[in-house]
Amino acid sequence: MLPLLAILALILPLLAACGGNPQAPTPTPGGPVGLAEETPTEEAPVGDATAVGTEAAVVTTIEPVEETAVSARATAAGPEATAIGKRLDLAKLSPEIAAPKEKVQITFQSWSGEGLKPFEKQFEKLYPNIDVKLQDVPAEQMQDKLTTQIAGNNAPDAAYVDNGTVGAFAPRQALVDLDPYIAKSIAVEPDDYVAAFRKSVTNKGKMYGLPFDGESTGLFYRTDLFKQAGIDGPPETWEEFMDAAKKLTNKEKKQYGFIAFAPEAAYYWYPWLWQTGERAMSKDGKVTFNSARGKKAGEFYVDLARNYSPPDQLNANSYDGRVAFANGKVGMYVAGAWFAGTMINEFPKTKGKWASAPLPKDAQCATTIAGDALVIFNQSKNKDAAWKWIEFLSAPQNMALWNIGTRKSPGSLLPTRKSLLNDPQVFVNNPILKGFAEQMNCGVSDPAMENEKWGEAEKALNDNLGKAIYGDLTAAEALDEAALETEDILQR
Amino acid sequence: MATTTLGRPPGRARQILREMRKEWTAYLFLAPGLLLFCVFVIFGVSFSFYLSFHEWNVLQPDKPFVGLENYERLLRDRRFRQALGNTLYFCLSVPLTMIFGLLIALLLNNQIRGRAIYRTFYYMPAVTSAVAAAIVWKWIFNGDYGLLNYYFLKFGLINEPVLWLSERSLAMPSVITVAVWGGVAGQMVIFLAGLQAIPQELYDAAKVDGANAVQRLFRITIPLLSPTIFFLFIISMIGALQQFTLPFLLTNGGPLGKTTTVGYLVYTKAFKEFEMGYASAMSYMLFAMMVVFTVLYWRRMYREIEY
Amino acid sequence: MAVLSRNRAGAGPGVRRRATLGRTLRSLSWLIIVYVMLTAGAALFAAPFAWMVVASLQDQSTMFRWPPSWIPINPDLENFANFLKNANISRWFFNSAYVALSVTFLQLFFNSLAAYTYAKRSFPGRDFLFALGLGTMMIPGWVMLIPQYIILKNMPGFGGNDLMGHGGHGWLDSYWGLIAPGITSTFGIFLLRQYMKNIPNDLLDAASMDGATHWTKYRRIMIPLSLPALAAHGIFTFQFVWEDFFWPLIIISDPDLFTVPLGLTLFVVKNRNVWDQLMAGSVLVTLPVLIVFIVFQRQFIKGIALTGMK
Repeated sequence: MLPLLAILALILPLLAACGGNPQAPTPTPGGPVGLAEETPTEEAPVGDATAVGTEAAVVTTIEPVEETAVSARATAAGPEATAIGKRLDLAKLSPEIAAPKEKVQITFQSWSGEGLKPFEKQFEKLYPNIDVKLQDVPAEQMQDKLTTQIAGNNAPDAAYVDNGTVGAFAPRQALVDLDPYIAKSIAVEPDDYVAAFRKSVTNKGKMYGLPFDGESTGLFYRTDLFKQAGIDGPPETWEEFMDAAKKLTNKEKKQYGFIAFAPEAAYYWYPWLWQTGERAMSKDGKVTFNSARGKKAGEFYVDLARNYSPPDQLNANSYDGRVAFANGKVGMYVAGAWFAGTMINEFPKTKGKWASAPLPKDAQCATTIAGDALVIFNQSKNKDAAWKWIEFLSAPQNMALWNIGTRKSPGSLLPTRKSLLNDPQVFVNNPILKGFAEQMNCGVSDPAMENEKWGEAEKALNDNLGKAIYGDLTAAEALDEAALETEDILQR
Repeated sequence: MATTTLGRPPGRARQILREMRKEWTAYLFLAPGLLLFCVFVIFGVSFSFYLSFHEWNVLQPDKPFVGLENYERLLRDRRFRQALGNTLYFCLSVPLTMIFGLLIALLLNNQIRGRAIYRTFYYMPAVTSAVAAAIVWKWIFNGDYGLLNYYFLKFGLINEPVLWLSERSLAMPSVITVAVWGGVAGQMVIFLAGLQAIPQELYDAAKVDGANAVQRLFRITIPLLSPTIFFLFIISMIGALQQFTLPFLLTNGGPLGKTTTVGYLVYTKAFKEFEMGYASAMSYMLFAMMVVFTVLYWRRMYREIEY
Repeated sequence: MAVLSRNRAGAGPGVRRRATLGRTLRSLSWLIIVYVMLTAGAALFAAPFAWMVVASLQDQSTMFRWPPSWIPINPDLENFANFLKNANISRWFFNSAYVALSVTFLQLFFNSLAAYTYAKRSFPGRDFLFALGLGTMMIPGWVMLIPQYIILKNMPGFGGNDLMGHGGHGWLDSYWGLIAPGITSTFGIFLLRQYMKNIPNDLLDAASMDGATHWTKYRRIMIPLSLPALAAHGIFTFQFVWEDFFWPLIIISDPDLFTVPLGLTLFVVKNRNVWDQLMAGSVLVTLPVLIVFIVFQRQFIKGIALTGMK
């Protein structure tokens, strides 16, 4: 019995090795460039360095072979796409910061190690003294793992993290203030970042991360259901929105106009709150989300949730709820641009039956912005080398490559630089993203998000809004209760 | 004679030492485990106990001392009380799992044809990946097109779809159902092992004496299984009181905190709200309750069964 | 139960035939009921796994279709092929197998030693030590995570650490960190102890009179008589270690040391899960545990004859 087991334990890995193939397809389609999947169908123009729509830039000092490889990947995106983004001299992105004179190793943690490999190779050619060690952590557990590592004094040098993590770590002194580095950098221009993204990595006026990719929240709607209900186009005002939700709801057919998720109540309420012009907190730290305007937004939202949303999805989340939208049970779905990628990948049969549009406006347009950023940890012993790496990734041509993806698995994230967003080539693989890019200007800065205690306060808001969605409280009551609890938390 | 510092006559201490020397191999046998235990567990336990009297945001080294403040806060914390209630409610899954586990083990311990296959099927939950299991169960419980509602409606058991995971009163029972489903596999394995130790002769003798199946079950099987039952009960209760995975995967602690257990809350406090000191205090509160429970239960068992 | 293991030899001819027939009919209907219930239960218990298999045979776009059905559309093994093509997959399987097998056998050995000691011997501090082990199981793991991480990192002498435990990474990112903390477990000791308590002391006393040492008694008596419990323990431990993803997640950063469950979670990316490979991988991950179960559970068929001891 025992020898049998031992043999089995040996055979299994061998069997797996039979299928082994060093060229690995990236496990995350829809994100970074998938090298092994794509064979470029076009002849890669050799040494083509024409930047689209921007001034001619300095030619890189990499050998032509590397140049071709870079352009080949860019053209794998589509026949007309040429290199996007200002072409900088990748070896001289910040000449004032010296490259290390001896060999150093920096560890970089992300959930897309595979996709970063081509970048790593190119970087190590440019900086032979820096060895980049890519480490993978599942996205869901990235913050948990980083927390443990920091507590154990074992943080990586740099990482690719969600903006929320930057917001949690920066005020607690875990990250390096990047302003001094940015001042000496050619590649990183703070003003080129979309304002909302820049805000999300800023704490007390200093930047603690380099926004790398992102998206906004928009509206997805079923064009077929809209036609059936006789609605012309996506709603642009709150009235039209409520009207459309009403028309689309037919409880006997189990069809609903909207869908609300109590666990994410606060997050998806923010756009409505902000559209009234109100913010969750004022600049001097007072709670303002239960003002008259706030209550108006609250009532609107709770009304939609209670009357026009499927009751059995109330405890689901915006990912699980996708099935309801795909099956035509829900007419309008509010989610980030990632939702487009999900629908394309998992439910290709729904193609042509849905479209996306910006969220409606009230006093102003507003939406939530989400994204990821590159950070350096205070515990790092090679901060300069780590900077070189994240700066390299943030160079416009590299950021563009990261975000665009390929025809087969288009990226569903947007670059965070204004210069790139203005370049139509960016949307070649995924035209839907254009609308989401335009909405970036509707990103809002809310003093609440910069408050260290907001994470906990948001829970109170979420819980109370959830109760309102379930009908225990009215929206006004919920907001007042949440305000009380928030004040309590802020004072602690 | 002079007394030792302990105040006991020196003879007693020497007696203990003599016994220790006599049974020194016992300590040898225990040594590897104890060594590891001291290094990992004892340090971990002491450190977190120490933390419960401090505040620590995990990311920065300072840990200001706050005395009993964490514990005071716990007593006032509404979310903690709710989580405690939820957790105790969840503990209902333990007797349910044990009853089913025992039942299945009993059935599959006999000469049923294909019992090895049956056992493998009943063991499946243990090998199903948590992610896949969560997806399937969410589908089963789905309000509109879930399997459960589909069949219940078909057989007229209900008139309209039930919202198993969204209805506040039904969420915990649904989670308990999934817990039982997952827990039976392990309990079946352990009961099967325990059943092997009961000699067939006892059953045969009882049959000759005219005992029927039920009598044999309660007079022979269960008493002889009592060490196993005791073990499973303690272990399962310890596990149930710390439950984290199911609320995390199935309901995210909702709806409205109805399935937030203490284990889930501890995780949230430590890793999402960066309050490791408070989370430690919460853990020790839970620990204290478990100790009390175990001591009481153990004392009772000691009196009832010949150990 | 009565109906299934009835001793036919006892039924006399002729006189009892009518009673036998009645009893036979009743026993048949019981039999059928039992079989039906067992089968229904088995179907329910295996359903999620079955769904997993069905899903792994399909393309991502048809996995979640509505109305859902158990019959796969266009089944093929493409997902499996794609999953296996991932660089490092054989490495992951090797790591998982190495760690799981090591921990299982180490635990079987050390835990049984300790269980025997707690069950059959008396010595000062026995109950205290056992209670201590039991007590510490009651502390939620989350708060122990960081202290244990710190210990691993500062293990003196390993992973580039000096004697004070500074400088390197200790037992992090190493097989030591994955295996050493799991060499023994109170759960296993408790399980085996309960079982061993049932083994009659007469056997051990007889052996003592023949001059056997504790080691001999352990080896020659306790182990052979505890095989079912050891099998149960082995199944449990192997399954737990094989499927454990959180501990490796926290202490391993080197991709060459990833275990399979950890590798699988890389396919779960914030709203962009790669469902097809995830399902295929999940099915593959379960196979070794199933094999261990099927092999070990044979111990639950052989009965133990405790007669004829004296």
